[in-house]
Amino acid sequence: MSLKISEEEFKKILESGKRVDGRAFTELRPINIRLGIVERAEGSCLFEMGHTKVLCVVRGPTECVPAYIADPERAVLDVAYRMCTFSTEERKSPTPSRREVELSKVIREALEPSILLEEFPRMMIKVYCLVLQADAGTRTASINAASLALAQAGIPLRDLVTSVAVGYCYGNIVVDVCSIEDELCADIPIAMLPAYRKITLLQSDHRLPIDRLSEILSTAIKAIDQIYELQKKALKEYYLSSTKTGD
Amino acid sequence: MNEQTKYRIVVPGEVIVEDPAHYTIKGTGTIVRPDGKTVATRISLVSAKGREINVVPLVGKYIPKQGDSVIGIVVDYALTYWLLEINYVWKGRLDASEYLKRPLDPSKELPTDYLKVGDVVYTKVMYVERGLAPILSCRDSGYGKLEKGRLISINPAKVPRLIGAKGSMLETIKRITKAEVKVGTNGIIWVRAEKPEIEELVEQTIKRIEKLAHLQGLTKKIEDFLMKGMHKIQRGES
Repeated sequence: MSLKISEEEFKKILESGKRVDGRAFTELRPINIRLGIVERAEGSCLFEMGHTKVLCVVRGPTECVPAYIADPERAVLDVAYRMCTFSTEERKSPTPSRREVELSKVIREALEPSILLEEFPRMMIKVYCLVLQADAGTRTASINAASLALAQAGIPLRDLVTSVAVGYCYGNIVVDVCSIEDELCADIPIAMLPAYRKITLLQSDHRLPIDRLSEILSTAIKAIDQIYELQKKALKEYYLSSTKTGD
Repeated sequence: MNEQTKYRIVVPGEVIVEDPAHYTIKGTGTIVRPDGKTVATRISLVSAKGREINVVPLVGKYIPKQGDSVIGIVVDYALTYWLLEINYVWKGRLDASEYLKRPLDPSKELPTDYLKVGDVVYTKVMYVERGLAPILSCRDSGYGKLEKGRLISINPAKVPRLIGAKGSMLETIKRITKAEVKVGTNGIIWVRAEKPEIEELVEQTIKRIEKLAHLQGLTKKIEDFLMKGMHKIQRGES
């Protein structure tokens, strides 16, 4: 996980057609989804994407707290993204950082288009994303986990929200970046409503050649479709498995 | 067209029918996508019989609707009304005149003379103001205070399954156990029977229905389960 590698070595690996962790360019990390792990909450999901582990818990609809932020037309979506002190290589301070506040907003804006908030006027839907282990792509894993937890909580959704981070490494497009790639390449997190073909999140803090953008997007959408199938399968399996324990 | 009922589970965003114009869709938890297809918004059980499609959500919290029968627990009171916990974001408000069917004179009597904190009331949702306390009523016959017995709480989304098609499931339970059962749409169920063993059996049955809500042919299974349970109770007696 905390493998250190020089830029030259990294480039050499990429030239051989492989990635630092041995994956192919368009290969996702192994995904593991577990639903309903927190009994007290209406919905919960543990989403693992390689070494990245995110626990998402959904409560609500509940009374709006503080009351003055209540919207008479629709529910207020409250997203809290937090990283555990033990989630990173160096201890992370438990104080909410600027980054965490920003990511909470980014995740909220990625989820909002999917939720039928107008069904719950003056109420609040709370989404807690807790990063247990961080290895790049925590915001995308949080979005994936949150949409599953919302579905389990019975909050009406237009569609599940699926997200993946695509990297642009020295001319190569790689899917689902790991932490080494995250440090050395441009990483582009993308979230979308797969059934509607609508993008709800698109970020990048690096320079990218504009003529490669459509290629980057189409690669991401292919990966998103794969994750979307896994999400749907996980939800259905969760409801079918309760049959077995019931008999 | 195959006339047999077909069941399947759908997740949010999944297409229920491609061309809604050719089907009649009953139930909640569906929206029409901009491309004209009807999709589910919740994890639901879809049963299709010919061109009739029924969608029953398997998850979700209780949202009161006008005309719902709910079971509430008195948690607070004021001079002329009680506040009832009805498994919703806001507490339900039951005015004294709606319970007593006459005005309450606060100079002579108090609401606590009739209902105390902790009492259980079977009421009807009279009016729902968006984002405020629902107004409850006991004016119609059959509604009122529930005494003795036990309360069972289930996921409100599973209540339609507990009642069954045209009340078949509930009738089966009542017929076999001879228990009094009142089902609140808010997921609270009240049971009173001759013996606590029978109440226990009904509770187990209801929990079983909640767990197996998405199975087909559930009424038959539940009937067998109840019969076995009743036999056991009767044998224990002799």
